[in-house]
Amino acid sequence: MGFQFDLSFLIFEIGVAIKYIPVVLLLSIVPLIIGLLLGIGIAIIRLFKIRPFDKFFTVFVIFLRGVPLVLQLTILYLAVSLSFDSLAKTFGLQMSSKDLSYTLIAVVGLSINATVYLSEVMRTALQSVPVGQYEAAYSVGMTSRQMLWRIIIPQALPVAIPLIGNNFIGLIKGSAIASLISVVEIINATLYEASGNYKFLEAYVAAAIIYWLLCILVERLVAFLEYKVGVYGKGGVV
Amino acid sequence: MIEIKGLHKSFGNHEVLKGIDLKVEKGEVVVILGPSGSGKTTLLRCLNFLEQPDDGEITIGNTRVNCNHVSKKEILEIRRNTAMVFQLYNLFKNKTALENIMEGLVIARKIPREEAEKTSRQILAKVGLLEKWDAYPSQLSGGQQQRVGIARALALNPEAILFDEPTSALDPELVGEVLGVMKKVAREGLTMIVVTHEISFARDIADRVIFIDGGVIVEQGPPAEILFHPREERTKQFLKRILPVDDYTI
Repeated sequence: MGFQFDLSFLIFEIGVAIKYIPVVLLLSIVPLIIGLLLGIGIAIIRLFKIRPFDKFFTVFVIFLRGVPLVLQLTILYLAVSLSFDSLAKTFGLQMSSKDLSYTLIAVVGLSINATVYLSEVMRTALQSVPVGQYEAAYSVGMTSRQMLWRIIIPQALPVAIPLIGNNFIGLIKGSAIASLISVVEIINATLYEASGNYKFLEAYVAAAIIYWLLCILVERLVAFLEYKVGVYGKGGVV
Repeated sequence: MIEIKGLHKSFGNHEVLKGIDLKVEKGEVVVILGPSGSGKTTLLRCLNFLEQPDDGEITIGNTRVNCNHVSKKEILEIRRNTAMVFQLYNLFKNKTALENIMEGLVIARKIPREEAEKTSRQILAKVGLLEKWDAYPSQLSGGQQQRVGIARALALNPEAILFDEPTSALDPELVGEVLGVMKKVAREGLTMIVVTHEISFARDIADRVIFIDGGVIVEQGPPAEILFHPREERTKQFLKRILPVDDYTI
């Protein structure tokens, strides 16, 4: 039997994959937003050494950065689903692990992962602003909060945005790992269609094409944002 | 009026300020001279708590703080009574020249935007940069940036302006324009504390010159006395190194 690539099935699978783009976006945009909000908080706490939280988050970041996303998700999934029934009983809830939304577990897991990486991104970006900018803001009598919002964060953004974009792309691709905990997203959906005719190659290629298109789109968006927030640096030596 | 009593500051084991006592009257222009590492910049930065002093008492205007136990509120109050001009200008890079000046007024002092803008434009005109009001710092020369830096300090109408080597980072040909603005400010009767190596500024403008070495005030007095007839050996040695011999005309 020779190698055959079924183009029409590929196109059919692309159609299937497109329908699941919203799932991928849910699994990447929600963690991105949660990660950004928590990440900036953690970055500020660590940068300004706000005790005792700074030490806690330093350990938190080191610990979670050292574990692959696939393990974070599967461990979270197994821990939650295995303990859920007994926990539900303890609290008298009329629920069982069958009612659990795997998508929700995936969103939580990906959000934790995103928070860790984005907190590092924000810390780097905040530290890239010269110390003189902090001093100037203090010298005109600003509070730390005013300084952060008006001076430091606007200057950190041009540094942060390409890195945030990288992380967003990482999250889009990382959302594929949710397929391992039975979330029906692009990969599982296309594989399901191929399970009858065993044309898995076409299924995987279709999924790959959609991921690829999504990532290109995000890259363009990031480039545009980067241009927008960096305007003040143009026209001279920064 | 500014009064400092027994100011101490250490970085690790290195004691940079070993008990500074200093009183600056309203409208006085004080120039601080001293070799590098003598503590003159640290002294200036302690005055608005960019460095936290270890011990001593600082009075600026109506605010008196004990450096042993100073609250955030007191630090903010001290900072709002002073303004600083930095060696590397430190203009807010994400703000235009006008916004740089307005920022402290609108955000820190809650002055209405229109009033702040009016004041800021007047002050920008005073430093000769009104036509550059919408330029970002990256579009200005070093001298222009420093003039905006001085304008930003002036706009705050502080008890005193602290100048931290304001011309040290400038090309020699740009030093003149910044010193010119500083002279103008001095004539208007603002209290100024200036750390500088510009002897001509000290000679022509200062009411008092203070020589600091090793974290203590070695001697102080009118410029004619300190610059040209110093009593202390350390002052003589320092001046010999930075004063060209031909400059002894007065």
